[in-house]
Amino acid sequence: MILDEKINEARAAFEKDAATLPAEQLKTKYLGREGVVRDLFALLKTVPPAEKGAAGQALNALKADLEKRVEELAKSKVAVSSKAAIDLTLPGLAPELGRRHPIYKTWDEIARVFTKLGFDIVYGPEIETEEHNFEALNIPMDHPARDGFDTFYIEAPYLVRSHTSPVQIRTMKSRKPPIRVIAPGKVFRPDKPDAGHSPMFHQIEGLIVGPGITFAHLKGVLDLFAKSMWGEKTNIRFRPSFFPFTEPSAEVDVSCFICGAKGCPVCKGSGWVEILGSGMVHPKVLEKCGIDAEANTGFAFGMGVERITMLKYGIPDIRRFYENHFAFLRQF
Amino acid sequence: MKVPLSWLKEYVDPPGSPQELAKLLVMAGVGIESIEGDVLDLEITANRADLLSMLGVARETGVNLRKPVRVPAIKELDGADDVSKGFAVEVSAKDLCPRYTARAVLGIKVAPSPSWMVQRLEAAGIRSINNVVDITNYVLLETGQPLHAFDAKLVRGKKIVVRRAAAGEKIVAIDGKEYGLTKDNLVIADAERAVAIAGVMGGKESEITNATVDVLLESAQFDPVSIRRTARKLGLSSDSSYRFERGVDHDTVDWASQRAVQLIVELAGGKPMKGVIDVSVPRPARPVAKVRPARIAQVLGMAVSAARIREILAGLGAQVAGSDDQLEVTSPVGRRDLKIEVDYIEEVARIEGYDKIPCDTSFGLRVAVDNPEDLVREEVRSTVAGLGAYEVLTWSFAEANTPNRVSFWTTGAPIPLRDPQGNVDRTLRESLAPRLLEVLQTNENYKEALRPVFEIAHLYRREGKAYGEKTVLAIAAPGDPLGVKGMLETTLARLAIPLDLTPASLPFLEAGTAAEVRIGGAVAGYLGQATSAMSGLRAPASVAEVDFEAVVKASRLTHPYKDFNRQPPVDRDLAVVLADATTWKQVETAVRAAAPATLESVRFISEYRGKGIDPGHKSWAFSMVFRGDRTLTGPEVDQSVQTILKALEANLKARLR
Repeated sequence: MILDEKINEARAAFEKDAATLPAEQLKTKYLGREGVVRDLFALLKTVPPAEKGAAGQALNALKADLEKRVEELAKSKVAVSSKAAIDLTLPGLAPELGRRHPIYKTWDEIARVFTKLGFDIVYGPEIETEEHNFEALNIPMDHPARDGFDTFYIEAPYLVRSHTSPVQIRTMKSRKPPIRVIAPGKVFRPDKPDAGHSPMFHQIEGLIVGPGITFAHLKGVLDLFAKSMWGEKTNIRFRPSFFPFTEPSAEVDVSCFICGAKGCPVCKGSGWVEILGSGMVHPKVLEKCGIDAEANTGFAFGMGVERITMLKYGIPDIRRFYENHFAFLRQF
Repeated sequence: MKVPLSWLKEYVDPPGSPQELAKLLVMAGVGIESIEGDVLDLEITANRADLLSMLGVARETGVNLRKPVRVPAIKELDGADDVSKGFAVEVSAKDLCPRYTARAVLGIKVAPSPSWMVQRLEAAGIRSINNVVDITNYVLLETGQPLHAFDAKLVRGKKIVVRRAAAGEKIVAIDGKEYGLTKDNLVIADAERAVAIAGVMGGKESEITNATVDVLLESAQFDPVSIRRTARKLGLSSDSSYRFERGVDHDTVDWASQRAVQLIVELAGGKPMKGVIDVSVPRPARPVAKVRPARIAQVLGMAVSAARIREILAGLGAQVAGSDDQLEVTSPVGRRDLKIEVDYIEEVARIEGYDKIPCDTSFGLRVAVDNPEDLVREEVRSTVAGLGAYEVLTWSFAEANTPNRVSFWTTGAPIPLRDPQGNVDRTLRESLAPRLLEVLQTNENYKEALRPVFEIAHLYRREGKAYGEKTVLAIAAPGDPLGVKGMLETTLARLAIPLDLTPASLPFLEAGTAAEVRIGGAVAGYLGQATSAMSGLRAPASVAEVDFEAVVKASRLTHPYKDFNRQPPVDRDLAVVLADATTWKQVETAVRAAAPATLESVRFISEYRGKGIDPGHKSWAFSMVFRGDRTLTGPEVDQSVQTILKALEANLKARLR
């Protein structure tokens, strides 16, 4: 009987496929809507009426057997795959990531705080003139106020800026109040490199100028900055100081974020860490930039990115930043 | 400035402990270097010359504690002969010496100082010499006014001349060293020769010795800039020059002199000559400022009452007149930093206490404006770092005489940097590449596995008579230039900029590996393999530098969405044997020219040389993706592949492998 042969062929083919195909594909191939078993059922109409009953039973038996086998196989395949389990303690596959330099990470972090407070980011050239680096900032030639500002000269009047404050001058000359900017960038001082000094480092300068700006606003902005950088519990302390381009001037300490102001080596037991210089923009500086110093007031502040980064990660030596040892960079 | 508490007590009642005084001074703006025993070492800012004296520190302490200050009483001592009969003073350099006074005490006895004075001086860090010299130092520390005592018998011609030094004039100072002078240096001379470097140091030949019996005492005011220049030029800084540089007060000059004469008579005996020789510009009026309490509130954001303002300013030694709306404040003696309203605003804030000023955050909302430059920089940094490169931070300097110059961006000599001594051992870098290769060297020396590094920073160049700088993205990586090219290509693709390379010849790159990078058709950088002389590395390394400003200009951070083709793709790979000289660009161009519009992409897979490939040839495998606007059939794609293969055979003498 032809159909019997075909049924046997189908059983053989199924077992052959079972070795390679997953249970689901077997089910589709043999028991699906366009599957082998269904095709065989379609042949029933060619079977003589006398044999039809037996043939139908044989086909139903085939269908039942194959269904059972598929079920068995589905179970056994699960068992097999668990034998070939992946060792998930092996390292995952991923390309090694690059790194960002910690100085720029801190730079970005500081800039983010101030952009949230509505400060634009502005830049100025690193090669500056004496006028922008000193005179316009009320730092006269041959004045002891220049002692803190040893500078690399190219040839007078050109120099590489010793602070980011010249960007204040450029901004006040090019924008009208109200002004609210920060100016990050590289600065240069002819210092011998040691654990705390580097001939090149980075500063971020901030400036607000407009009618009605007060010292209380300066305190408000820097209080927000400190809390955003080091946490809600951070406090700030203002101490009088002297900068030729601000008056009143202040050094700003933040409560030590290492020890929670309890006293530690970083804050030298005082609970305070010096972070910023700041003050109200000196009226002479405003006037030199063509801003009416009676109608406008303003404040400026500046901080060292290296210092904040060193404090943040506990890096003991500023020279690490410029060595670019992969073992250093890999940590950030 | 070292301040022994025991000495300070003479002028003001300080708090009980040095620590309490230190705390008070710190919050008033006076730094504390150290506290040793009862001696505070103060760190004094450049504006506060007044704090370079015990009386100044007493004043500062007093105003903060609201306590009075006891100023030593001075009285004019009577003498026999008028000092002007015994001596003469001539000031020929009036511009550099606004006031010069001389007093004389005759018949003194030089001896050791009494122990109380020795102790005070030593606590303040000054070695005791003898009673006369010690008195000049004591009064300097007490009043901030430097004094100099000459042995009057050694002042030739009994005459003091304040003049510019003659060219080539020399003097041996009391430190025993000889100094060569120029006409920029002010000297104190007698009728014949220089006897002191004015304001800086006295001369050896006229110094007080045990044999001295008559003393001529100088108290003067010199031009701060001149003193500063001379001290710097000679590399000679003294307690006197330090104070003259910061400015002494016209009104303190003779007062301090009288104080010293009084002490000399008291401790060394002798008789003062009568009066003083005072060669002076007319006494300058003390600056008067209009100080408005309303303006103080406007600047500080905190109101201070007119009464309290008056109290503070009077406590600082100022004379305060005028109405409560507008005070008229005369600058205190010794406070040359107090001239205009804002100077007094600072004083009020300082003494009232910065901690009393509130934190005010009502400065108005404002939306910050992003710079395109910052947005592109962020995209570039995250992409390049995401591709595995380490961001580095290298010096903007180059060594002054480096053999490894990359003058791709510059013309002319590198820009020299002078340190304050005028030495040039650095120049500003012309390129970032040498420093990036140096980073690879450093890490090779540390036995690190080399990996790509990048930096976005400035290089510097001459622009006519002025100077300019340029922001550059630089990448360096071990291996041939394809690694660097891939990073650059991927990064620029993020900004919708195609990488356009033109072969080039550059002296610092290996021949046949270099190309110029073009953006919008203009040269905007280069890439290639560094020569081994340039890289200093054992293995090959490649570099790229691209004008970051050109990248920013050409960048598109957002672009319109294009709908995509949902028909299934058909992939076909081909491997063909080609002559070595054939470039990928030729292959890709030939493939695209021959292919029907259904060819979506062509991608290089790999190169094979060796067994089965003739010498001078290579086998390249590449894959193609076809996609139509309906489902493509296998036979029709095969037909396209045949057409492509025929074109490669015909145009590039390719052979199917």
